[in-house]
Amino acid sequence: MKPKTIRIRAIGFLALLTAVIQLLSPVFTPKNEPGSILDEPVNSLDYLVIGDSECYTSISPMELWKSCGFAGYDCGVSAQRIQDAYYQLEKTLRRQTPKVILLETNLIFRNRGLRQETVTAFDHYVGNAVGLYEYHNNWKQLIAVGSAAALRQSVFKGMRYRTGASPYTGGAYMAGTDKKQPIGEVQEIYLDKIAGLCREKNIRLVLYSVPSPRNWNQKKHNSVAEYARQNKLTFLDLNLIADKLGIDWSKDTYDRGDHLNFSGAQKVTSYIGSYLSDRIGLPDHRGEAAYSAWDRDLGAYLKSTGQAA
Amino acid sequence: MEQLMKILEDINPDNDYATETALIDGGLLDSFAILELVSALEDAYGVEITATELVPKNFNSAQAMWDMIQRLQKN
Amino acid sequence: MQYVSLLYLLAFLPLVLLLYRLLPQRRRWRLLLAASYVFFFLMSKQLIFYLFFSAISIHGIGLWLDACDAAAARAEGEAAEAARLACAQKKKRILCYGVVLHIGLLVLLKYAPFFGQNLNALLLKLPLPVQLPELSLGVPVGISFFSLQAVSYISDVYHRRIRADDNLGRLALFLAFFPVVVEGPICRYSDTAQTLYEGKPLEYENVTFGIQRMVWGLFKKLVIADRLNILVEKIFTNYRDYSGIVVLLGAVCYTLQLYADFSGCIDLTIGTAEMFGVTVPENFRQPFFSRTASEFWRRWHITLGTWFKDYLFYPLSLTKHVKKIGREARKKLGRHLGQAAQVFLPLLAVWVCNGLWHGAGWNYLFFGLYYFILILLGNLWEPAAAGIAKFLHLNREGFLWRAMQTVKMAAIVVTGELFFRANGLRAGFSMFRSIFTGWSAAVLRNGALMKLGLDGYDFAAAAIGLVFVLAVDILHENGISVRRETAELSLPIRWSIYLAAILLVVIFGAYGTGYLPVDPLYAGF
Repeated sequence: MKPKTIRIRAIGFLALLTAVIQLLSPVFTPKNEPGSILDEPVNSLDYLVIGDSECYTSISPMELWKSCGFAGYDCGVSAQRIQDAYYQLEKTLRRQTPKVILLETNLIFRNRGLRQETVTAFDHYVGNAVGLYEYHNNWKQLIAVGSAAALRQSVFKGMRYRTGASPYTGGAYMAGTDKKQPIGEVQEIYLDKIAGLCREKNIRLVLYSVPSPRNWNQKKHNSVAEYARQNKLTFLDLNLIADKLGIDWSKDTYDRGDHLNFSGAQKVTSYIGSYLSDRIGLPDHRGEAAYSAWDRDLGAYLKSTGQAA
Repeated sequence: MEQLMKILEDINPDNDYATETALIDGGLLDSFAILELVSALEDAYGVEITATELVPKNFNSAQAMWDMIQRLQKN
Repeated sequence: MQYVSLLYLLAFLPLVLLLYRLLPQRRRWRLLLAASYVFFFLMSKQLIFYLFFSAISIHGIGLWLDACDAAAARAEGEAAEAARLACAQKKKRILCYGVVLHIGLLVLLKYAPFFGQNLNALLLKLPLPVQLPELSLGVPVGISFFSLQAVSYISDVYHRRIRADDNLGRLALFLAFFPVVVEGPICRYSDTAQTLYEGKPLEYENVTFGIQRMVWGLFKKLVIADRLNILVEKIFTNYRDYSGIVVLLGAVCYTLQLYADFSGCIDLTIGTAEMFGVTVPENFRQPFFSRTASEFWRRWHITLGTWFKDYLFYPLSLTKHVKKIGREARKKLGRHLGQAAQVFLPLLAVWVCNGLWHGAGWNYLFFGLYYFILILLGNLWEPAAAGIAKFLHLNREGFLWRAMQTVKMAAIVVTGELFFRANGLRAGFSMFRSIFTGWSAAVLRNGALMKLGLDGYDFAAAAIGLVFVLAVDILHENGISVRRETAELSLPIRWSIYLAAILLVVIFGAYGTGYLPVDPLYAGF
């Protein structure tokens, strides 16, 4: 085949591919996904919880609505890396203006090595440019627009509701030691970026760590405590006060100490609720017209969690 | 040569040894069959077949095997 | 750096192709060598030293072996015979050094922790207050593969199947070629080294067919394997929480994941090599169409099987001692059993090595022995099976018989993979037992299957993907090349197919938010 023909074919195919991708990208890019934080009205949330699966199995926003009238959301993603948490936060903050962000610290230590980080960085450049690549997973939503399953999640506001108990029997896990588990370079960069983003937007960043014997230990605590000290951030390590919270390891975890179940989450949420009302003072939106959806969702939530009167 | 054909038929009668030239490359003789063949040939012709000789070139056809045997008998 | 990443597919590879196109033919191999070393460095950093060391050592050993032969050939007259013998002895010793060096290095880097742990466990049982320190040296990527390639080169030179290569660059490239260095296929010098070195110009068919093969590989890896991984991880990590059908599902899904992942990555590597016009051997040949365990290992991870056959099985079976065992056994036990006696030890050696090659763990050893027993018994049973079939007038080529064999092989392979993937041997047995003790059809109705990390859409996507794979495998088994047939279609149709394929991968791939990237499964071996 003549070189000219090859060149024409190659360019033709690539042009066609690009055109198709450009056409499909807006179809997949979410405008208003049912059952996600994009469902919440703009600038309606006063706090956000970010992190990995520890985040959305520890704090129940509807509980905080019920007890204090606070409006917030669990933005955690399972096994999320801190880089992804940062980019996700950036996007979320384009629609929301919370006063406080709670960062669950487990993902700080998720470090897959330099090569994975380089790969991830390149991915993000492409993802930002190509909507189809970034949002391709929405194919499920596209097929199921308006499905009941998607809607059911929104009454939980990002929390993963899990009952059932598989006890943790390992005993004390926060040993007294001064050693620190080092935070990866890339992870620290992104932690700084998150802290910087919060400072820039006048948002209070609070680091917190969910009681989790499988994931947390004294060394990690020491590292994060030091970081918090150096950057003047509050660090609530709930692993140290699990007893005070009333965490019962025979009843409050559904996977032997990896995550808390709903009963454990209620205890953590109650503590965080006190912290948010005493130390930060978030507005109580109960009864406000703009938040009527929350009151309506509360009924469904109480029913789903077996708390209906 | 006839004896060779008889040995081959005995080990695996499914192949046509008169015409087949891809006994190894075509996977028509598996490794167990090859080993059986090696011991049969050693006993029949009094040669020693080592791992060095075990290449497709020497075993892909009955003719190739015959050539190998002749060569080994000379040494 | 990883094969399945935008960085490799959209930046590294196109850049290498572009430079390859621009360079004159005689310099191209240098580009490939440099690219390979950069690639390796990005993966294993300073451990690249081992790769370099392997290249230098096989270069030296190869030349040394050839020098021996040359010296012996020069001797004349009466001294000739003695020289030949001395040469044979010396060559054997050199081969020994070479093999011990490379395999020893592999064993040291990969298995020292395993041996250390087990030795320590043993020492604890005996009242000895000695404990070995934990030795954990870094393991360079692909060492299980390029070590075997190195040994294959030295062996081939020893057996005079090839002449030693005096070109260090060519040998270094043979060991390090970036598409195959991470997880094979394991190449032979005589097949691959020259085409690698030639710097053939890029050709339209090579490049387009190569890209198509890569897209197919990505489809298998991203749409099927990485999706099933979620369920597999959940079940195998929390195996105590599951039993019955769920565990069986986990084992089946892992087998499918492994096939899609490994064969998919191999498609990526062979496709990449194809773009450069380099021939690389196939590693899979529709393995699930196998009828016996022996056949399975001629269709699954083919290059590993042939490596063990050519460099371990045959050499061991044809040593004087083993031949003697065979002769005695055949006299006493008859031809068939005698044959089995001869291959017993070499076969055992191969399967112990095959099992342990996959990893340092008792469950890997079990995996190897599992197939050893199956293959040995299969071999012993063969004449009896043939007799029974003849007696009962059963057609062994008939549909029913073959269907039964396929089901039997599926059960065998899935069981093997269950142990392979389990968190250790004890977990494997526990999981296997639980399939039977916890069997309950209720699981199919009560929604438990939806709590394994995959929703209905995921199952559908994986299932449809597997149907595609089955269709393509059936076509391949019947000798039909999908790429060739598609290339015959008219331009609008075939371009639509290519576009659709790429879009299927981009849209339905299990990657991105909410998914953890899955390292190619065989890269860890």
